[in-house]
Amino acid sequence: MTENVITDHSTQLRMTVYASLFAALVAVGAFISIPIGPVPIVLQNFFVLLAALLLGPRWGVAAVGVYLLAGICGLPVFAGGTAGIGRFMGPTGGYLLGYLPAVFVTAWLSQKGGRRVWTDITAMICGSLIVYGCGVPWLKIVTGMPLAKAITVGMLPFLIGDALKIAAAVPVVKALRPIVQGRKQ
Amino acid sequence: MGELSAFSFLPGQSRLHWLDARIKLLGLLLISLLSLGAGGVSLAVLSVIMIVLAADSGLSLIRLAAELRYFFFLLLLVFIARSLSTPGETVWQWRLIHISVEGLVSGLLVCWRLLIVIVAGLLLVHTTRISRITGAVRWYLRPIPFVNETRVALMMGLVVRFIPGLLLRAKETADAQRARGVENRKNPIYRLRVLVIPWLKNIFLEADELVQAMQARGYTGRRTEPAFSLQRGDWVALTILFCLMVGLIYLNSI
Repeated sequence: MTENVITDHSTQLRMTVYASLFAALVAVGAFISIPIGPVPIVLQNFFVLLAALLLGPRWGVAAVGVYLLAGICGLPVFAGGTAGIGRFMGPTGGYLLGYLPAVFVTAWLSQKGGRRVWTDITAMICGSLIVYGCGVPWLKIVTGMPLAKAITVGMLPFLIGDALKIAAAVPVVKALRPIVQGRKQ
Repeated sequence: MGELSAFSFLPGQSRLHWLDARIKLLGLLLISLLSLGAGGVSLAVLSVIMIVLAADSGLSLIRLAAELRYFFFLLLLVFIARSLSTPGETVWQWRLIHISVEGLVSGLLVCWRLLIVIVAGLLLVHTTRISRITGAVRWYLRPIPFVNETRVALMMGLVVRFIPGLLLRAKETADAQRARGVENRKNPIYRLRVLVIPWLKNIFLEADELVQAMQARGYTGRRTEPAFSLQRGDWVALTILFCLMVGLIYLNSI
């Protein structure tokens, strides 16, 4: 009994630290880019997907939630070092808010699918689409551009990068899952 | 990457530094919400307040402008998109592109609003210690059910602590890969993989060490919280904030 309480406590603490780590990674992901082609690959949504696959629905949502909350409270975590609730009202706010449902759905689908490679890929595709589903209409409303233009500016240039990120996430998840999950139990 | 440090606490003795963190956080949220529907007059009022507060807290306008230099590009983009896409009386036309008076005005207003909110956020970060901000967040989250406010505050503190280390490790890993000639490889998936896997492995191991250190010191959620108490100046600030809110709502409604 006592042992159970202790392991439970230490699991909680470990997952708390891991979730914070992922929140920090999502923040840092905006600064780390791999220069390929005209649009460099920025790792922000890559880490959102990784958080979903590695942490599961509950802690994945916690990680993204803390990231957003830190931004709302004015800590400098959003892209370009800016922060504050104004960022949500800005043109890119929809993408940020979209991370929250995206991380939950991705983690949930991956868990339901038994964490197999193909279900993971499907889950990540769904997650990415949810981010655009929130981000593009928001971009349209805030900047007042027509929908077709919002899609060309806010979605199409990033699709190739997203496909590459999803492809890269598969081996990364395979390599890191034993580290995270092994210690979780 | 070192530019991140520009957005941090600057010790000082100004009124904003002395103000209770809870009131500053409330003020930031209120200003953000109020500026949403604000017209020119309200924005002018808010701008004057921001400039006075920035001057009082020892933050020069030049420094503000330097910190916001990337943000100005975003503002410019919003401004151009707005002025091109809003229909109305044409000022200037070239083939299919036409700029309208309404577009210019609404673009200016949107940029002005965003700028005010960002400056308010910067003022908060510059005049308040992180522990105070997280303490204030904990205080506000306490009445909300199903949210463990102590854990959220711990996580926010950890996030801020992790960020510089993560950037440093990422740079180290990228340098190590470059030394091994990764730039000759064109396959982006390969490059992403060899960057991310060693990087994340290292930081997970570091996080484990942190967990062990916390456990060894018997970390539990029970911590000494920063003590908040409202002084006379805080009540004055709260009253001013309230009056400002009422005034701006009135200005926005006429």
